[in-house]
Amino acid sequence: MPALAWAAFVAAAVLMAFAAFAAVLDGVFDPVGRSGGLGNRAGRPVWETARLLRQRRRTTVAPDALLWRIGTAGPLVVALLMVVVVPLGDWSVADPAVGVVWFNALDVALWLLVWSAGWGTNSGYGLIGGYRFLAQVLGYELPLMFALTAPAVAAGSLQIGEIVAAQRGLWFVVWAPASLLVFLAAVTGFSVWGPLAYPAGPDIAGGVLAEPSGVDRLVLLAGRYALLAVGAGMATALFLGGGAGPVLPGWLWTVVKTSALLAALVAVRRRMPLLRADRVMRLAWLVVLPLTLVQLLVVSVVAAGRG
Amino acid sequence: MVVGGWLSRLAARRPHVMLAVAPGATAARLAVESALADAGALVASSAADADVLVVVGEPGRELSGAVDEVWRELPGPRARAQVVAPAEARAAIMRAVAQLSDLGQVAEAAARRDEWRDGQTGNGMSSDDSISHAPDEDRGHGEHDSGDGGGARAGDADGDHHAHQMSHLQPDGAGHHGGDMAMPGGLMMAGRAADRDGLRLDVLQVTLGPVLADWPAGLVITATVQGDVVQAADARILDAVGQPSFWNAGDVGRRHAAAHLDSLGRLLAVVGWPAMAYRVRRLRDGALGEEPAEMVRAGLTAVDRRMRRSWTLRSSTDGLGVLTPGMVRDLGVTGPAVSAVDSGGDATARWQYWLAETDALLAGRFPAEGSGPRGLGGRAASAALLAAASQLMVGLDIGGARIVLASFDPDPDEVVPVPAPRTVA
Repeated sequence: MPALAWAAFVAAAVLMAFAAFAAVLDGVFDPVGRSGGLGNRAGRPVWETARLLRQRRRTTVAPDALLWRIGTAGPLVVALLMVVVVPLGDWSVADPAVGVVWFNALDVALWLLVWSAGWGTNSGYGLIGGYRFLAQVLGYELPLMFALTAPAVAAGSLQIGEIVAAQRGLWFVVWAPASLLVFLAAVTGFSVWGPLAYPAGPDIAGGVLAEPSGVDRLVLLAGRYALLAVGAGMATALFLGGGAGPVLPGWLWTVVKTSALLAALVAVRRRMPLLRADRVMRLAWLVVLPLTLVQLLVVSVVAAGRG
Repeated sequence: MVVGGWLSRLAARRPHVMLAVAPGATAARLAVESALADAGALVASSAADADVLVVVGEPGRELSGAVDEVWRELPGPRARAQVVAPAEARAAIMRAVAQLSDLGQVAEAAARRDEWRDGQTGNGMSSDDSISHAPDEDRGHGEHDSGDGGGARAGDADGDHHAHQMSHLQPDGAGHHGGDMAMPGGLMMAGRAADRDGLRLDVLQVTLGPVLADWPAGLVITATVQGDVVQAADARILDAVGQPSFWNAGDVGRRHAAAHLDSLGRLLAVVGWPAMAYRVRRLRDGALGEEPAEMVRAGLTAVDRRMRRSWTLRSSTDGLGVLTPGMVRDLGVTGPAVSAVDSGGDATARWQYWLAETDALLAGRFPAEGSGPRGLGGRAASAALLAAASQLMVGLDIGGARIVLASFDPDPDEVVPVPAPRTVA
């Protein structure tokens, strides 16, 4: 049992390191403050953390305190629970037979958590932000589920260790590229990030981020980066062969691949504006969902042919 | 204390600043925005996210009330500054940021309690923070509630209305019920009415502005919403000054180009593309400054290409706020908004027209005689744009409504004081 506790602690530390890395990258990619030099931008997570630690936690009129707290801590907790099944090289805290389902179930828990973060504040903007998240979920969740299904079908297992092992010959990204792209898009969706940050849109004063201050805000923002990081880690395991690669040890390959995916996820934020939920819906149901289904069909036929 | 000092030094490296802009202070706002960009400061999107409140210009009585309310909502450590003359901007911001690092700040913030915290209910107070910071509105609720049948609002219902602490999500008069029932936080139950799909939905009054990021100075829009769909919008400018626009003075060609870039920056911020908004605003500062027109044009060409190629940008502005020839006639709209009618008349057509005209102006084309960047006759032009925007908001969600407003971008400086609130239903 102590061994398991240590393992969980290590996994959490690795996750938070990746989350910090994502936050640093976001500062580096930001055109604002270019004149201040690289160090000033790269250090931004430090300044922001210090700022939020000094800041007072404020309340709103008649908030639903319980739901608000749950929503604030939720994303970070979900990311920590997800990382339990994400392998670092060959090592992971746990490798249950239903690892993929575990990941998916936790991402579904975010429906309630992000909504509560908005609703609990009893503020109009927070409320709209929470509902925007639910609208967005209707767009990305089914494509995400089918994208997760592709590697599971290809490997004939829901166990993440098995899925990684099944990519010895060929990474799944080669014959399921659409699934990887859809998976990454869905990661930005549940992390409320980049083009899918509509629930935290500037047009509604930050939406789910409109009210929290101080430590509350710190935890919520850390949760957002942690979700991005765990999403990149999961994509590495499911599509990029996990720790497979020449020369370097497995764990280092995982770190390299995850960092690359994470950098791409962070960078996308500066590249395009927000997508409104109604547009996401149209795109998701008319283009992305059929695409993931066709991709799944291709994967299934290939898997059946091999089997 | 050692840790405190260390934290405060780190924290001051990236202050979050909220702007409260009074009508007629465009020059000061531009100076402040430019100073903030140079300092690497972040413009906060809500009071909860802000350390510094910068009041730009000289707000009148009504706007001051709203600004004070926002000030109470800053969590703290916090600092406040006022910038009236553009030249003061840099120094005022530096002073405010220095105040933030004061070690007494944390203690002050900890000792301060949100006045709404301890369930002081039943006084109609419901300042649930930064959805908007409604002004004190002791003049005429009756006029205000026109359009939907009128009636008492929550604050009046219990007869203890606090002038500064207006609700942001207020039950509308229509179908109002439970007037004597004190609800948690003094909020009242919403009334209900049939919506466009024939459902009976809650009717709420949402006040947008006047202190809101990327929002025209002093503008307050009271929207009647069901769900987040705007059913009616009522716009007015607080403490309007009705002075000649900043954008119509000096080197007119470059000023007009800068005015369009300013509008584009606001639109990009509202659609959620802050990186591009930043680029466009830097171009604007260049166009207003000494930078050669050719340099600004080169930057604009790159921005133009990125914006036109952005499928996501077009998808969020296409088909929104279509201005029809009939509306142009009825409201007397002039300027770029009309020129964009031929190419669709939607928000996309308007920003594309801004881009094209900015380039032409920078290339040396002289603006038409008597025409401001927003159309003929200054004042009339902005008033018409505001009327058009409030009409076209109806039927859209809050996000769409804000994009429509930003795509018209009326200049509040030009709008003349109106004695009674105007209503567009």
